[in-house]
Amino acid sequence: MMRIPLQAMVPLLLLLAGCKGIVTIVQPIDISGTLASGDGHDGPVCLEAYQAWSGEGDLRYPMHRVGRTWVDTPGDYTMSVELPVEDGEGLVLFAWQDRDGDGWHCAPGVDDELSGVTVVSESEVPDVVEADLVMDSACAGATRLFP
Amino acid sequence: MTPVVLLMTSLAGATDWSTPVKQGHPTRALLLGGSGEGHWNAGLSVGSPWVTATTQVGLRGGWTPIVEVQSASFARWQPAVGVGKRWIDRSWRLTGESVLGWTLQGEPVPFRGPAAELRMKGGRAVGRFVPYAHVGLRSSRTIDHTEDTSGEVLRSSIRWETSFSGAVGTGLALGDRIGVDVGADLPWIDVPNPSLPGLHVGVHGGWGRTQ
Repeated sequence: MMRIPLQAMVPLLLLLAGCKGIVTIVQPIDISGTLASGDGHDGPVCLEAYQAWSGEGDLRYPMHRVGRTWVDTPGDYTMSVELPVEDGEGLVLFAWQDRDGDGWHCAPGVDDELSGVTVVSESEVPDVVEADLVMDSACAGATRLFP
Repeated sequence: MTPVVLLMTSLAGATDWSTPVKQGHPTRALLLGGSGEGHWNAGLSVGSPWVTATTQVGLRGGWTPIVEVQSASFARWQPAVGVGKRWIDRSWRLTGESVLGWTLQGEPVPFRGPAAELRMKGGRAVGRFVPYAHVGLRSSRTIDHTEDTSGEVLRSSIRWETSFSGAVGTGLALGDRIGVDVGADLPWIDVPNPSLPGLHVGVHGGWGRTQ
């Protein structure tokens, strides 16, 4: 009986293994909590989720955005994100209040749109997160507020 | 007169390269496409980054089944089977080829899926020399997955890769059944991402019935 060498079968097995491209492994996270404005103003709030750290070695950098949603006004909120766990770690929430309704945080001529950050974790993140956030810094960006 | 010139002169004077048998020379068959009826041809091209192995056989009417494997830096593999057809076969030869196969590529941009390629090979034999040009269009398809940490697939999306293939160079028939070539590879893999050109040297052989 003819025997086929294992090395000769590897390309055949690869051919039969079907289509497979990039595989992204994510951790789904459900987030809830309360948003508060430092001076009590109402108005839409942009809530963004970041991985605290992303990349490796010299290319490691903070605050890689992984999700964004809008909340009608400060108060209770819920949000779901998927963290690409092979690319980074941790979870940080950043929020800013859009007082002039232009969709931009502190466009030229605007200096009173408050923002804030909550660091949930800089390493492992649970599947369910409760995090409160207070917006009390005027016109500060996410990276600036990250400790 | 240098030894190289002496060798070239003696080789060029040895045979009439315009006869039909020599028109079916393996170097012409592989570089310009389309083997002579009953001819088997095989070629191995080694370069940076591309390495290619090809076998083909000539059938009646200029049809030529092809089996080939191409590799770029041994990180991307393109095995395929297909068929060629000589469209023009006078002083100039123009051949169309179509192949079906697979694209297999590892990290950092993994890709595994079916592929199809259409290409043209053309040129004109000048004595022992075979200047040639190849152009082609290749399309490959794979499926990207998003999985959770337990391995469950959350989403899948189809990803297409469009590439152009190309080469220019010249072959040299060394004898009735053997030849070589040098050329530049000019592929454009996964358009619009840029690709670097390459260089190769090849050797071609033939056997089987001659007519």
